[in-house]
Amino acid sequence: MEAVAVLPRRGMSDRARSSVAGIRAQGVFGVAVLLAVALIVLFVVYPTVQIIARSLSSDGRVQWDRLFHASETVRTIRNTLLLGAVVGTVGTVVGLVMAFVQVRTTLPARRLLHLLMLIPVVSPPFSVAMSVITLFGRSGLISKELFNTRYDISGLDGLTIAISISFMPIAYLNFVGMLRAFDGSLEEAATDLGGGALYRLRTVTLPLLAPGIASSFLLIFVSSIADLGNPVLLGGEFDVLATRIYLAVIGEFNLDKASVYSVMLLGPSLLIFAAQALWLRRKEYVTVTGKVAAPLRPISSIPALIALGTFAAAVLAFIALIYGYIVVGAFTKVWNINFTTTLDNVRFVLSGAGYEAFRDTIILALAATPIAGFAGLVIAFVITQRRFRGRGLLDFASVLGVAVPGTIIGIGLLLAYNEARLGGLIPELQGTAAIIVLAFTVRSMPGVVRVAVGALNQLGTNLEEASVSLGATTFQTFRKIVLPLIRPALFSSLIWSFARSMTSLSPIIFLITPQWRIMTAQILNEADQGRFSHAAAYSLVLVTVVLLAVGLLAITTGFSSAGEARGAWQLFGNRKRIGEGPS
Amino acid sequence: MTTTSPLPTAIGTGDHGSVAVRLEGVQKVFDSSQGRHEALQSIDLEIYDGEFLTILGPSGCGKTTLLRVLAGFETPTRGEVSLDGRRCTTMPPNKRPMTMVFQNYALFPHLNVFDNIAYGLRLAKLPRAEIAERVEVVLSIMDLVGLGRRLPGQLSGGQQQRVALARSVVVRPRVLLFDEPLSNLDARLRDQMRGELRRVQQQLGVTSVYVTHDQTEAMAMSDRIVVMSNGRIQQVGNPVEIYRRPVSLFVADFIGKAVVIDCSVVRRGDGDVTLALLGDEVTVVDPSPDGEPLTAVVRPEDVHVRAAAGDAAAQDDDRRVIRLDGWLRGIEFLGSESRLRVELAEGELLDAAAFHDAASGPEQLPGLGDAVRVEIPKHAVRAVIDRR
Repeated sequence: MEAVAVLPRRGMSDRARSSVAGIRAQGVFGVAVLLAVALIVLFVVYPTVQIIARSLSSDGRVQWDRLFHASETVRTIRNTLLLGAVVGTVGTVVGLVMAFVQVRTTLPARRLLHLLMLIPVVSPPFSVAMSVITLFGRSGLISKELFNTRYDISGLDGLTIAISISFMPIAYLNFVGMLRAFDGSLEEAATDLGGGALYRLRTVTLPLLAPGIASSFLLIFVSSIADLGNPVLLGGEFDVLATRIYLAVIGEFNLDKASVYSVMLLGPSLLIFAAQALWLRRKEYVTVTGKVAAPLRPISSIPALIALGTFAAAVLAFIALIYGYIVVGAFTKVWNINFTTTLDNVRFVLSGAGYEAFRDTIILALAATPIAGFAGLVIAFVITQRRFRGRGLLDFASVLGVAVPGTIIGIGLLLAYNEARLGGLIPELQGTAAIIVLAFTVRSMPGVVRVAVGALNQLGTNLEEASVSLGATTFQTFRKIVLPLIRPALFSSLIWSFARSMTSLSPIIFLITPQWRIMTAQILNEADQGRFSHAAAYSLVLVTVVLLAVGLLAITTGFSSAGEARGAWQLFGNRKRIGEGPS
Repeated sequence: MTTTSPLPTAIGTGDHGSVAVRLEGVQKVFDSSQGRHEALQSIDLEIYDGEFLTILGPSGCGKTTLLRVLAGFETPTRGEVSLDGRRCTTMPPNKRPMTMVFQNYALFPHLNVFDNIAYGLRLAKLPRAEIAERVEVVLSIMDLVGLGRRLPGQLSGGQQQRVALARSVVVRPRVLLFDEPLSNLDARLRDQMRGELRRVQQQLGVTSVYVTHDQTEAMAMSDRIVVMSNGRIQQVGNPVEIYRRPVSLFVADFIGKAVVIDCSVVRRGDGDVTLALLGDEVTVVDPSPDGEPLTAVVRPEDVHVRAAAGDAAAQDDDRRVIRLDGWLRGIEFLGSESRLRVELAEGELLDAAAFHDAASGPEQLPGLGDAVRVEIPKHAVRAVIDRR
């Protein structure tokens, strides 16, 4: 998915460590660090700078001038911010309530709830849009066939539904983590002092969750204004910046115009991300860290349970309907029109004209995964050291790959490497597979960094000091102690970054060529051409591949008893904890 | 590692071996966003070959920093550290012939007991057979035979502790460093491990530096104790010296209990000082060559409390005993002793301790509110520097 599914949770100095036991950018490490930094600088920072430069070029300035005076630009920006705010609110509220149901109730089927809430993580976000159109669109199954209205859901209504579903796992996972870490004795204290349930919720629980609420809102906000697939399919008259960028490149091939729109989108994205990273992260950490002193008691009020249960059931039914209908689409002749069952669509993807995209996507995602894993691990190792000059900067730079909207990464790469750079050291990359792999890599690396940082922080410093004290060098310590211990977490994060590459659209939409096709782009293309059943079949195959990878992970980490895999499961949801009751 | 050093006597005698480690003017300053913190002010210390030296102090006194400077995990801001006469101030920790036993043991959770213990030997690239032999020997010394295949998670706290110690001693370090290694154990196990640790250290004769905040531990195990506070060494001495002849109020109060007695200096000079206190005068050793302000302390067990029923017989030792009248205001029965609180005629409160055995149970103590006679032998009074 395109979401910024990275929920940073740590302050800057949680891992106290000495200078000597710590890394001394020596030998092997020095080189690895340089490579990782080069990856960020060359393929995130430089392309972004290229876009800004392009928008400030003389042609770009002409565009600024024109766009600034066009009323449609104002409308587009307003629409974009409105969309972000609405989706941010809906996604956060739904995520919070669902997390509440998961952690604070003993209602049945909470495992199912968890799985359904996480399906958007393993599917391309805009596959929801196709279902929404076929169900509620102008000739939708429900809107036309069932209620016989001429209601057209495209626009803000449809986008709110589709993008909220896509990104609410961000909020859900965030709140599940927070609620699990919540100290139950706080609520007990409030009860002791005579507070009723609602009073307690209002005065204790919600204020303590406030930083999480704010950070979920902001992350969903950023993710949804950067989303491309949904607005393209479902936006209708409702223009947003992402579609403007898309049309400027694909429709007009006007990169000046696209750059100007990109900068308009980049500003709020980076601002919000920086605010989230610098301010809220710290606050959140202070609020809900530490050991659970007392378990939270499950909610026992019957009316509250009925309300929560009904809401959760409705949301889950809706998610099931949306995704279930994609499966229907994949196995019928013409989705929503001719319901004759057929395997043709799936065959089209697996052995027909769509096979190339299927194969290329897997190959390129597989190529990106180890690069992202290695670079992410190295960066994580470096930023968990205490005394490292420029550490804060590197920490921030490591998340840039998701902070910068995917479309902008894509266009930036295009602009930056449409000719050889660094005196031929980097050849022209436009139209190559390498540029797609790079886009996948920079987008999935931040997730690896976060997971590895989490795992490393869990290790504590004593193990490394013990190893050094017994005569090991930093590198020996890393190889013999650190790496084996964080291996499960690392493995999960690799699977995760594979899933992310498989499902991402915006960074590669401008990079694909007839030689290298990517499934998500094919889905968009097929849907655009009205061949929804092909699109549905692609989506189904894609989700299946990702689920197989996740299944592989579940099997392997299931066998190893190491708890370090937990970090990555936070991204996928904590499998080990799904079945647990709140107590 | 030497074979066996002569067992240090329980009461340290001054019979020191050669100097193993020397710290000269060691200062450590931490600069952080919160500001500058001087963890070690200026530490001069000699650690003798084969001794068990304890660094004792409250949390934040700098004792752990001092240990980490020794280990090489911290580099001193100023000053020098030398090992066997060679400077090693900036030598990285993996090059120093010292190993550390950590508070949380820091056993490698993915390696079994054997591999944990063999870790340092393998790094040293010893032959397989020798590694196996040395690990077996240390397993038997540590009473861990048969546990080699277990993972650390499958061991009890005491066993984990012994593995941690085994892993550190098996590489035959010149100096063994302990960072509060017993503080994670429950009280009973702690007492047991205390003895065991000391036994192993004496058996191997390895120079050991042990950091703790627990004065009982320090007293029970050490050849010498270094008392620290606020980044400074307050006093260095064997346990008896530290307890019986504390130099400052801080040391007196931190090691055992101290009864502070208001006093004024009558005369001072020639290493002696005469103090006026409790309507009497005593002449004692002056602990401060620099003439710092003094106060007087006694240990509670030197404050004897009896029922006031007059007996003139003991009056002839007036020159050696301070006698006071008062009322018993508090009794805490602790089993082997009772803590008493006496209100003196002048309204002053004084703590005392009375020890019990079968012949002198708590029932023989005066009752609450009874008039009592308090006696303090003058030789039990100590002058200490009035500094906490």
